[in-house]
Amino acid sequence: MVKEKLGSLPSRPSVDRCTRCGKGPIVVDSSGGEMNCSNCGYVIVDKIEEEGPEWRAFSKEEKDDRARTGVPSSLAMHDMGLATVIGAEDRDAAGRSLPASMKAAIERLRTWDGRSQVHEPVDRNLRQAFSELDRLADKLNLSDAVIEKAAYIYRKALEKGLVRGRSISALIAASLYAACRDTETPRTLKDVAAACNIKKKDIARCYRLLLREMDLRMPVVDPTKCVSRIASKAGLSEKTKRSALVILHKAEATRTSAGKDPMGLAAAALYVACVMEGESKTQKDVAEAAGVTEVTIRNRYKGLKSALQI
Amino acid sequence: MSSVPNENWAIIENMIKKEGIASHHLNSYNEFLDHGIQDIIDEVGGIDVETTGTPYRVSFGKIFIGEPRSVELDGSTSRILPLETRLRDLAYSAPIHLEMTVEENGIARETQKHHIGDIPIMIRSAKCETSKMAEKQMIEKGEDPLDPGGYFIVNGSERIIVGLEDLSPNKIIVEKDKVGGNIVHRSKIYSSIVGYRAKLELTLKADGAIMVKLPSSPVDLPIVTLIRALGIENDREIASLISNQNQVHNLLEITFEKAVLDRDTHCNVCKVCGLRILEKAKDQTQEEFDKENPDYENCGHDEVCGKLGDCSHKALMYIGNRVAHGMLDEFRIRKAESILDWGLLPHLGKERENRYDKAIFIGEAVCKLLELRMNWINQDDKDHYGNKIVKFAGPMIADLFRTAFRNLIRDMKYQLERTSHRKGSNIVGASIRPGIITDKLANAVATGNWGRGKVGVTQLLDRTNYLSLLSHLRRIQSPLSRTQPNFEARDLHSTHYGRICPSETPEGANCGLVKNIALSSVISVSSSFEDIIDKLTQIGIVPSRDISMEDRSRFCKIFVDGRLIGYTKDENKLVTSFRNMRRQGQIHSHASINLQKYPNKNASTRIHVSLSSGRVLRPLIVVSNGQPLVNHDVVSRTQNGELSWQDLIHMGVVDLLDANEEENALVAIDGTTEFSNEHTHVELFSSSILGAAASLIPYAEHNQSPRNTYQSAMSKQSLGFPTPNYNYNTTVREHLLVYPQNQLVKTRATSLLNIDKRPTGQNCVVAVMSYEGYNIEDAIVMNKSSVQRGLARSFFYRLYDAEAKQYLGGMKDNFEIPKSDENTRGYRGEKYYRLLESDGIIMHESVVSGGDVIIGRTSPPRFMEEYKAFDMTGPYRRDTSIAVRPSEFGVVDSVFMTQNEDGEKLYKIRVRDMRIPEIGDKFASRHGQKGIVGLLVNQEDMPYTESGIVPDIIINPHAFPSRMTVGQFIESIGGKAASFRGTPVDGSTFAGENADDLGNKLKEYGFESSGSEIMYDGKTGKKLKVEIFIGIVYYQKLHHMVADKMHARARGQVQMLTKQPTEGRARGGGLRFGEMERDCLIAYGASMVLKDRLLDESDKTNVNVCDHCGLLAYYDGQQRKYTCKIDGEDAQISSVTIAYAFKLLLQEMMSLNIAPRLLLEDKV
Repeated sequence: MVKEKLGSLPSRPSVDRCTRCGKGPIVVDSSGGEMNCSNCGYVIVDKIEEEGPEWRAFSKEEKDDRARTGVPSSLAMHDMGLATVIGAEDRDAAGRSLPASMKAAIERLRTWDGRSQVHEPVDRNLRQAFSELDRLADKLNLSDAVIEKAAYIYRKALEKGLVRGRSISALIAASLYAACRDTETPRTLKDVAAACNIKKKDIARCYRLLLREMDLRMPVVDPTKCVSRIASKAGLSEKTKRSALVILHKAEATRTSAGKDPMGLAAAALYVACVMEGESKTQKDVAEAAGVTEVTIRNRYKGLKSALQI
Repeated sequence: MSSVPNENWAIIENMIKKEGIASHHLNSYNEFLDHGIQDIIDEVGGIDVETTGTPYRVSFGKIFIGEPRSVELDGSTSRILPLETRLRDLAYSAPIHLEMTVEENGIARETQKHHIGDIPIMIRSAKCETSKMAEKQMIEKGEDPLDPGGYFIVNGSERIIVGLEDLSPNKIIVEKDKVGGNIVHRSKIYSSIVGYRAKLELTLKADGAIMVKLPSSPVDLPIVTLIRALGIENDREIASLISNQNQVHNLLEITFEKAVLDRDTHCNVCKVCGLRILEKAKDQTQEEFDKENPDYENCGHDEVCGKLGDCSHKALMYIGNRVAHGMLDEFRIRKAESILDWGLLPHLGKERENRYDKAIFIGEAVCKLLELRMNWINQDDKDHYGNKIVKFAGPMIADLFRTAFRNLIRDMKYQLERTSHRKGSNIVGASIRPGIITDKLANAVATGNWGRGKVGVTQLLDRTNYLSLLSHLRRIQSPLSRTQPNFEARDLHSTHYGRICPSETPEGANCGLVKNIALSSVISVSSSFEDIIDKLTQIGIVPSRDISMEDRSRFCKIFVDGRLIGYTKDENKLVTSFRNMRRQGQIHSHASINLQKYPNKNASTRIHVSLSSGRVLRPLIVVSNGQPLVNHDVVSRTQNGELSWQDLIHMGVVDLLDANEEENALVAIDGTTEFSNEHTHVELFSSSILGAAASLIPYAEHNQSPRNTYQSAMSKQSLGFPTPNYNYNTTVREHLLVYPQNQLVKTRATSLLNIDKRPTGQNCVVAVMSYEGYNIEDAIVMNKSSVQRGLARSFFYRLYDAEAKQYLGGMKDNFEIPKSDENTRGYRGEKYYRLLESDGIIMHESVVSGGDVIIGRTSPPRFMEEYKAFDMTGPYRRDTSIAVRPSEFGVVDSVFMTQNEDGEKLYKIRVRDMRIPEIGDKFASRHGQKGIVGLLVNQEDMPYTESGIVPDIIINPHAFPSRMTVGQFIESIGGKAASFRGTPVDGSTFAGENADDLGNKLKEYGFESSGSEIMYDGKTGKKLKVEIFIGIVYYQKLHHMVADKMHARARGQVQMLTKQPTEGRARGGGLRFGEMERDCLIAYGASMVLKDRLLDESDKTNVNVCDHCGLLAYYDGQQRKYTCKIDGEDAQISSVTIAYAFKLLLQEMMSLNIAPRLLLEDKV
């Protein structure tokens, strides 16, 4: 080996400004593998590293073979998906399958490994809550972002000790409802209650508790987001849907919609639209699809009527 | 001669036109939806909820499959069509609803329908919307009316379940095997019911004992013990179950001894008559004994008598001891019983009553095994297509659904028992997790991962052109390993005739394992077992329970789907009546009967009736008394649509035979044969033995056979007109040939397979000669002027897509033009974003080239954890824009904006690039003659004929002698004749127009009949010394084009792990300077070049090394000091230039507790 004298220290390139002229912006040229200053043209970094994998896989097996990473971590798992567990495969290091006697032993180890994963009560609580969450999300057809958010809210609530003395199922249902509200995913309290077989009253109580204790601020539900859902349930045409949206926009402009139940408002707008478009649906049909009473529809209807001078 | 062979094509034509090209997929899937899925539900029946309070039962009723639909983010549902699912990356699936009733104390409460999950719907199956649409309506909705269907759409991509070849279920297969010098005889049965299979293997060991391997038992059991455990206690009865031949009984002796010798199952047997001897219990009187055992006859040979009935019990215990070792007695028995009822031969039933049937079946398996041992019968041929079935979507999905449904039930049971205290009207509804089934099915179809090590079951549908689609739909895969030789399994078998294409198979590792079904083949659907039993009883059989001992060995055994149901005295009469009834339509046309007789008189005669689905059948014309039943009249009535092929089957003039039944038939090759009374059938149409790809080769019978195989593979790479809805297509890569042409020399399959509506090439004037040496080594010379007129011009479409994901903490991807002043990491510079509109998306018809951004997008920082506050450097965003691939060009063709399943915004942008043929593009004729363009020549420089015809393509004569593709010459002559005649030439294999006639035709038009012409050199105007063979050949442009391949690199990115240049064109990678290249430089002594390639231009790095300890040192950035971990901050540290890969090696060794020390010297 041949050594060289230590030169001047390599200066760490700042990402934001050019090291030569102090201006920018810095431009990334991925085909040339360089970062240079768009002002003076100085090459700040060369031979930049490629972010993707260096291997190519033509089939699923090849991909599994070469990947060195696993699934991303998730808040909706009690261990965030980072725990080490005994794998399900009954094979030894050389890839041979285990003898029958060893299989039984490993199976027992696996059982105990699974049990010992949850050594703290918090873990046990989370595990139960998230299995419930998984089921709920499945039934309500929610996206991963909502589930993560719900898990986040629940974890926070658990940290604050809100779960103690309350049922896990009710609180996780409330967290999920809160997450839906927060991400503006139209699901009603009723939907959540139906999916988990808990009384609406209980979930609502927990939800209010979460709002109060955790200082959550929810965006106001936009009635226009409820329209397509009600329309599809009641079997209304695309045209009616559109004209209901127009009515709602008008109502918003005249501030008639402020402070009203969005579901009821959307239902009433759809009903009005039905009448206008000549689609024969009764108040009862629309009310049932929206999950509100006919009285609500009539009241909102009156409001809309006077506001829009129909 | 009443049947003219060429006419019979009408029948094949009618068959494929009526059923569609993918009927095997559709029938299989429809069969599953019709009753397969309900069978799986019924098999489970319900859930018994065991609670501390009142236990109840949830029982299942009927299953309902809804319409394909999508569930939007807001919970609304809407009906969807395949087109929308492709565009929006959705799944084409329908909800499954199941009736569930809660029964408390046997009183049923109200029945409710619950959604239990979604099932992917096969395109054009009974549940698919498009199957109910008329052609016009499909066009209106943007669907291709000629799309054959038969595939699934999951996550917007089209996946096909390729047919899987499998051994026939419930069939006793006997074989000889060599184990260490000894010959071992085996008898194997794959017993299977919907979604479940269990293998049973009987082995005749070298010592003469027959042992059985049970699915869940770790050790082999003596066969007699197993039969005893099934409830047959009398040894003589056991022996007679197997056979009544004395020679066979002699062979059984050792097996009986094996069972007797074992202490656990020891029962005394009378040495004289074989009856089991009962022992009287000690405290029992003779009267008590007689009363308890009224049936017991003392044979009188021996004096001992005793207690009856424990023989079977002991045998059960014997099994229990081996499968549930060390458990309670009661549990061991229960375990053994459950193995007998559930794991053993499940196709015979899962109840206690079925045990006798199982014993009979095992007896027959032993019988066949011993007959093989005596050399009375031959071992079964595993490659015989009668011993195989092909599984398509139905059984495959059933397999999956069964496990998914069982998982759902387990989860529900757990939920119900856990929440039993909680009352509510909707306990059952709340306990269902539809995701279990939905995810399992969608996941498996999307990845091809079927569980239990089965991978690659589904494949991405090949849409290169219409033919590749058809061929993919007719493909069959063998589960055999492709790394092992398996010579026999790869060979063409005589039973493939008319079922499997002899030409179409890939070369290389998959050769002979991947096959394609022939045009004439029909895949069977299952028919009712009970009906057949009725019909057979009508014909007259002796049920197996009523048969006398003597008749058992004399009569012929009758099996229906592997189940012994009875005997007959006159087997020929039974088979004939069965066939007659089938021809009269009383029996399903797919049911087959096979009489198995052996030359050896001792061997039993057997009749096998098969009703199962997945057998490959082929239609044949029935010959009766030396007369084919299909005559001119029948064919012409089929031709004008009066009769369908189904009618012909119902009329009894066409039979569908599986490979087993064909063993009983004598088939004449065509109508010209001199028929004898022995003949039973005659071939329908000669060239229908070929598959989709091979039947499109004109005059294939004139080619050397491997050329047809090459062509079959190549035609799937040719560009054409894959689908008319290409404007809405969102496939990642798509090619479209401009001005595709119909073939001048076509085959009958061309129009049948709609290739005339979706052509894949163009008719070119081809001269066979050399041209300035630019067409040596299979190159072709092309006429530049033809190219400029549009010859072989194509469009290439590439799809780019991007969605706006939502992240935790309310952050989202934004579609926008990234701005330089907003601290955007990875900013590419203004010029790359110049084409974006204000919404961050490019406008259609913009001209783009490599690197131009077409979708502007920014994302929040990565790894933003919930608890972590914002990054120290302040908020920043990353540029995650989508740019045109480097080294590609094009014009933005269309921009789609939509929403995916999670309600996120989704953009799909299609870039089009016109590809004009250039030097290096690949072309091929239809005879496995491929080549790349070597030169483009102006028309004026090309040779021309007397009449002024200039070739489009000049190929080298050396392409022919060794390859012997005579078909191409005939096509060339035919093409020439066709263009003068004005009608296409029929070049169907075995049935095309005569080559001599075509030559005569040419003569009529004033040409030489050989196809040669006098030609003149375009450059000099001189007459060429020889005549040139010139004619019209259909040429295909293959999708390997130089534009997609050429590549070079000067500078560029490096790999993360090794800091060496990246690999591959797609990543702008370098060209590998490999080991052999390195050897060259060493040999030259070019050390500086060597260093330049391997170090300077690769992974050169400077590392800090401690002079004292020789280990790697580092620079402490905070203290601004060089530090060595061993010798501290004051150590003398030097910088050394090494390869980064070497640094990795040092560190890896250190991780293994090895200290690699670098001993440094001063630089001179």
